Formats: sequence, C-alpha cells, structure tokens
Amino acid sequence: MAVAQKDSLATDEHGKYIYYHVNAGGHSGANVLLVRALDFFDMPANSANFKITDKDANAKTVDVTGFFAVQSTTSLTKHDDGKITFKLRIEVKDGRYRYWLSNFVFIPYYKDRYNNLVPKPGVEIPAEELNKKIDGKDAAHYLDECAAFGIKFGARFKKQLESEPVKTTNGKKVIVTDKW
Amino acid sequence: MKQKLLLICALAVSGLAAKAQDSIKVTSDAPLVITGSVDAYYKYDFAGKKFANIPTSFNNEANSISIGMIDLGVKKKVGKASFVGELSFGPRGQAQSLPNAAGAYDETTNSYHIQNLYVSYDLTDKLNVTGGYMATFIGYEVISPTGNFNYSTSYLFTNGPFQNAGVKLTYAFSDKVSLMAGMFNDSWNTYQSTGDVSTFGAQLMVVPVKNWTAYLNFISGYYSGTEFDLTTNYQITDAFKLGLNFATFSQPSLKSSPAYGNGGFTGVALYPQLAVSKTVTLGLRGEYFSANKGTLGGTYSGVVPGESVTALTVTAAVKSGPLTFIPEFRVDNGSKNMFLNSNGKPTQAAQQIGVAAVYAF
Repeated sequence: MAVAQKDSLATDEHGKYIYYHVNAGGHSGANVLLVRALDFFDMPANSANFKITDKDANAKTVDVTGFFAVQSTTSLTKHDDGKITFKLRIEVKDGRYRYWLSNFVFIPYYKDRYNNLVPKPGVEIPAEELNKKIDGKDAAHYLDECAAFGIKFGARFKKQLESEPVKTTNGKKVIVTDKW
Repeated sequence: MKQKLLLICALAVSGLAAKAQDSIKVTSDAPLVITGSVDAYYKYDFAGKKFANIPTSFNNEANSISIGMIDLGVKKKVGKASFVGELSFGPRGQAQSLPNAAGAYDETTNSYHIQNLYVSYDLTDKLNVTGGYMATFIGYEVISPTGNFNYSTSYLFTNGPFQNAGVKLTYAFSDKVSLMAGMFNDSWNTYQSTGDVSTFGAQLMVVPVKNWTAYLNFISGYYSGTEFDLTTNYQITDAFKLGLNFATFSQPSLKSSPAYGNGGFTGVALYPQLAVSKTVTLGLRGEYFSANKGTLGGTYSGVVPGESVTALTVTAAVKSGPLTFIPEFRVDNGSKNMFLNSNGKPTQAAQQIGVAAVYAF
C-alpha cells in the first residue's frame, strides 16, 4: 500500500504536480544516454504504456505520454477504477540526465454494458482538482499512486540509463572467452 | 452448497489479491477481474398502495421494500483472448428481464440468470471478434442499475432488445470511429435461436468532437423485426452532460414471426444531467413514445397503436463512495386514458415516487 508518497510530488511554476529528478549518468555521453532512453520505451514491457510524442537529437530531449492504472480504496474487490495519464520530459547531457512527470490527469472507468471497465467519455480530472471532484480518500490515494509510479519509473529508468548494455545475439547472452 | 461457498470465497480472494499495477496486465498471471452490484428500492404509486401504473422494466413493485438483483461479473484477458461471464440473481436479473428457455417471463420456472457470457479475440490491433450472449448494443439504458442514471427505465429500453446472442466483428478505424457488424440469433433475449442465426446487427461509433460520442445502431431480422437507434452522450462541461436516445421499430412482417404485424413504435428521450457537487448529480429524463398505427400493430408497455405517452423523470444520484442513493419522481401522461386512478378508474396520468440504493463493487 502506498504510504503518503505524494510528498514526493512537488508543484511546478504553473502550480501543477510534478515528479522531478536529476541524475548523474556515469561516464556516458549525451548521445549514449539518449539512445538508451529511447530504447527504454521500445521495450515490450513499456511500449503499451508509454508513447514517444517528440524527440530532438540536437537538443537531446524526449517527450513522452503515458498512463498507469489505479484502484479505488473504497471498492470491495480490487479492480482498476481508472487510469492516470501523464506527460514525461527527458533531457540528457554528457554524464547526467533529468526527467519529470507532470500533467497528471485522472480518467475514471465505468462498467459498460458488456461488463468491461472502460474510460468514462468526457471525464478528465487534473490531479490538482481531484480533491474537488472525487472522494477525498481516493484523491489522496491517487496522488500517492502518481508519486509511487514516479519512484518506480525512476528506478527502472536509472537502471536502463546507467547500466552498461549486455551484448546479445538473438536474445542470448554472448560469453567472451578470450578475456577472463 | 459447500462447493458453491468455496468457489465464491476463491473468487473473492483472487479479486482481493490483485495488486496495483503499472499497466493493464494481459499475461497468463493476469488477475481475474471481479465487479458487480447490489440494488434495492422502495416506490409508491400515487394511485394507491399496491398500484404500479407505470410500466417500467424494473422498479415495478409498489409500496414494498423490493430487491433488484445481485450482479457478479468476472473477466480475464490473456494476450489477445478474453472472456466475460456476468451472472445475476434477483428479480431484476431474472424474470423481469430474461425469459426462461420457453421464452416466458416466469419467476417460478426461470432458472437462468446470465447477463453476459462471451469470448473475445483481438485478431489485430484494430479488429476484434466476439461471440456469445451479450448485452444488446441497441439503446441508451441497460439492465444493470450501475449503468443507468435513472432507476426506473424508459419505454424505449423496455421495448427494445435486452440481449442478443451472436458473433460480431468490430473494427476500430481510430479512437474516434469504429464499426461493428454481426449476425445474431433470430430471437432477441434468448440463449438459443428459434430457427436460425438470421438477425443482422451493426453499430457505427463516432466521436464528432471531444467528449461527444454517438452510436448509430441497426438491427434487423425476419423474426424479431427492425430497429434503428441513435444513442449519444455529450459531456458539454465538467458538470453538465446531455444524452439523447432516438429509436424506431418496425414489427416483422412474416406470419412465421410471433410479433407479426404492421406496427411498431417510435420514441425519443433526452437525458440532461448536472453535477451540483462532487457527490450529488441531478438529472431529468424526458421521453416521448408512440405506438405506430396499424391494423396488426402491437401494444408496447400498455401503449396501444395510435396512442402515445410522455414521461418525465426527475432523479438525483447521491454518492457516498461505492453507494449511490437514487431518489426519483416520475410522471407519465398518456395521449388517452392508459392508467388507473386511486378509484380504479381509467385516467391519463400516473405518478410515482421512490428511492433506490445501489452498491457497486
């Protein structure tokens, strides 16, 4: 269960919630970090939830949109009660990189006539307005989930950007026998 | 009985064990998603204690604390394949909406209680095939009380199909346009066909502008008739939503059909809803419904050929977490005498008031 992780969220100059992080990228150059960042979103585990909307090889930036599912705290059974969409901005330089998630928007699900949980048409609630629009307990929980997602994403993204790639052939690890 | 309890416990535990996910899991360990609802109500007809003048599909027992149904739905998707099973127990889900194998609405012999039972497969990212017994694609309102704003139902809902068994293909041109076409059993609302799979159905979904969704629906077969239906919703502002349902139905023209005739019905319903706070939404349903003239025309919810009814329903939805209280007032006014007053005499108008509680999980 998320425990007040929303404290990890800050607000930006526009008053919007933001999950912001600056990391050292080891000795890797900006081009390498950029390629690794782009590779991250091509991974099968990520391609369904993240979509690259813009990339600039000169400015060394990547813009991404994404979503994650959230569950209500008040439902008897655990199922997705909505999704939170967000925008992700990544900027890299030689030896370091930064990223931030912002523009969190909650889209509630409803059960359609075919017993599927689907987004409610026309209902989009910015994270900043959650307290005004939905149950306070759920609002706090969804903000926690935003922060928890940022933390989890950050750990996986750091691993991708700061790990030396393992050479593979046809998906198998290549063992180099002349050095040991 | 013991096995049933164990099964219910197992289902409940699997649902509770599901953890928050970053993505919608479709791998083999994807959880079984469990949803459902419970509803109960009280209503009073102004004509008297046990009158139930207004022919709403459910919410039809007067001066009584009555139950709707308990609805239990399960769904699982692994890769491109999914299934849905939705069972209901109680008057709303049984004899008041689903006929028994003989096609009769009879609580004493009705043992069926399936709302949805189908399998589905994504042939491509854009093309899906689904087959089984499904909620109908026709109309604005549905059987489940969680899917409707008003607790009583419209004449258009009551007289259209509730469910159709068949196979359908849905192609999504984009997230703004999709087309469904399928073949369904000759008879509506039954688990098996009477003679063949001869009803054609199609649905065009369009999103003309952001927050506005429209469905153009068509269903036609020699056995059950032809209905054209427009269902649309427009979330105009954060607080205000407007829905519209228009439908016209023609009885089948072949003598082999039980509804053989030359009549039908036409109706339109408007659904404005205003959220006045984060827990309270107020809504109206204004409906006009007429039975077409015809020497062999059918009677629809007591509306005989050539007559019509105008119904106004005022509803509030007061939410407290998963629970929704629904106080409602409704007045129906016929073009001629079609109701009874407190003395049992024919009258043009009927009024009812009620309150329902719906818990969704």
